[in-house]
Amino acid sequence: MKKITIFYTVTLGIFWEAVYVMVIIGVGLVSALAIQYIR
Amino acid sequence: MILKPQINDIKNIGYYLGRIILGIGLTMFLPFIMGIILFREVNPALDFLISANIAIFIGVTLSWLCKTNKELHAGPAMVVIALSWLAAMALSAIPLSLSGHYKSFLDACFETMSGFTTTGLTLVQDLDHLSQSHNLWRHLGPFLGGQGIAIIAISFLVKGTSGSLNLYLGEGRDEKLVPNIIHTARFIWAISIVYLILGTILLGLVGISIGLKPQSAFFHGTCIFMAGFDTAGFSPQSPNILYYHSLIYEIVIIFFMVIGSFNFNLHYQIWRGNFKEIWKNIETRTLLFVIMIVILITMVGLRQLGVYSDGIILFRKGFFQLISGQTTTGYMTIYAQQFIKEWGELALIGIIISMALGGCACSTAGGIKMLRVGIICKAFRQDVKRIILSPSAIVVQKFHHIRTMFIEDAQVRAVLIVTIGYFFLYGLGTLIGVWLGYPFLEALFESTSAAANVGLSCGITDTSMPAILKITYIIEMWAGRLELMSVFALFGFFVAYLKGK
Repeated sequence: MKKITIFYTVTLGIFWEAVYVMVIIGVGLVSALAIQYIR
Repeated sequence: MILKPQINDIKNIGYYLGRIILGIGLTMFLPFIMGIILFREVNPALDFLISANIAIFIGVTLSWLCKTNKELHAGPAMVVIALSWLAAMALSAIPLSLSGHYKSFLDACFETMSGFTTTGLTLVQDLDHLSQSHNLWRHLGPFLGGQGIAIIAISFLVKGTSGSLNLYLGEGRDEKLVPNIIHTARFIWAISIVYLILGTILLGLVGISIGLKPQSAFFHGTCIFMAGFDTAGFSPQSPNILYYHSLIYEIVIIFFMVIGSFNFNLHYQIWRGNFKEIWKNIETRTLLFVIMIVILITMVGLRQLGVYSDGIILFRKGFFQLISGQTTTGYMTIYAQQFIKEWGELALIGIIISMALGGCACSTAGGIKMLRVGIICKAFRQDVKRIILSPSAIVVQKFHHIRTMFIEDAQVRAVLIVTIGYFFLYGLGTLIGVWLGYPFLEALFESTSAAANVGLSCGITDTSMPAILKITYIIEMWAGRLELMSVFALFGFFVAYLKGK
């Protein structure tokens, strides 16, 4: 593979990994905010 | 009949052990050079020169005395791995012991075993005044141990693919990224180095934005990244992540903790363009599911006692500790005593469950691992289907991990053996903790943290704890990191030597 192609796929790979982590952080944040309303 | 190991087996073990010790000695030149050139700390740097010379002398002598061209078989490879982790602990403890920041050599050994196994429990005294060279060495331990001590040797110092493969498998990893094991080891380094550069820059910039001086920000960034990505949890300052008082810093750390707990094979697939794998893989799906369950338990526990009044604080304290436990990192944004005095039993149980289950297989994380949890759940589902459906029905259960596979009984058996082994380890440490007078839940928390290589502490880990508990936790960290099998192989080797014919 060309170096530019490797750079492109690795960058996209890191982006998708970041998206997954953002989903986890989102779940945590929403849960923390929502639990305040539960008695 | 048990066969006694031959002299050639012992020579083979000695040769490979010598090469790994040589590799450990060579890595000590990094804090030495950095200490002299960058930190301008001559005396602390000399500790590394002394220790490196000792390690290199032992490594070269052992390799020379036991020189062999024979390939290393699976059994002796496991013995090499088990011994090399003990050797790494003892030799790496020399510079830390020379620093004068450890009460005893045992405490320094505890620290290095905690570092290499990516646990993060610490016994250092006056951390805030520890030299930067020693601090770098503390954080370099997880970076080397997280990828695997054998990975260093396979990448640079050992020839022959069969022996290398057996060493690789002995470190509790059973997945090759590419067919060639040397290329697999180098790719693991490539992933770690790419993230090291990215993480250091990102944490350095965030550090500057919150008021740290540039050199300090990048030093902290490097240390925090190495201990975060490698799921260790060491920090250059005694209040751990609480020192930074920054939500952005905490979110960046959460990012690297989760990424660090990913399977290296998953990284490889995603980096090759197979982006859908992250959503299809059994490990990432199980991780997301488990996190949702433990969030519910922990948050309800914290809410019940009204520990944190604000949602954002609940996120920064509750969720951060939870992710730190789940990824087996051990970073903390609260003080250790707060777990016991404030959190209550339900929230603690949530954290203990997350620590016990751990991150993904073939990663730097510890614990039972998501792949095993996923397979056990699928096998359970398969058995329930067998009961419900007609006896003549053929029930198959699939799961996706890099490729689609079917659940097999032999696979479930292997998974259950290791899982039971982990529960045995958690129980053993708890039993000894309770015997020494600690309350049950605290003993369980600390034992699970040690055996699952987490590093969260509820306050038991301290320089004043009994030596027997320090040794127990060292054994737990060592056995937990090697997923027990190499440790059993080492004991089996000794038994065969003493009783074999």
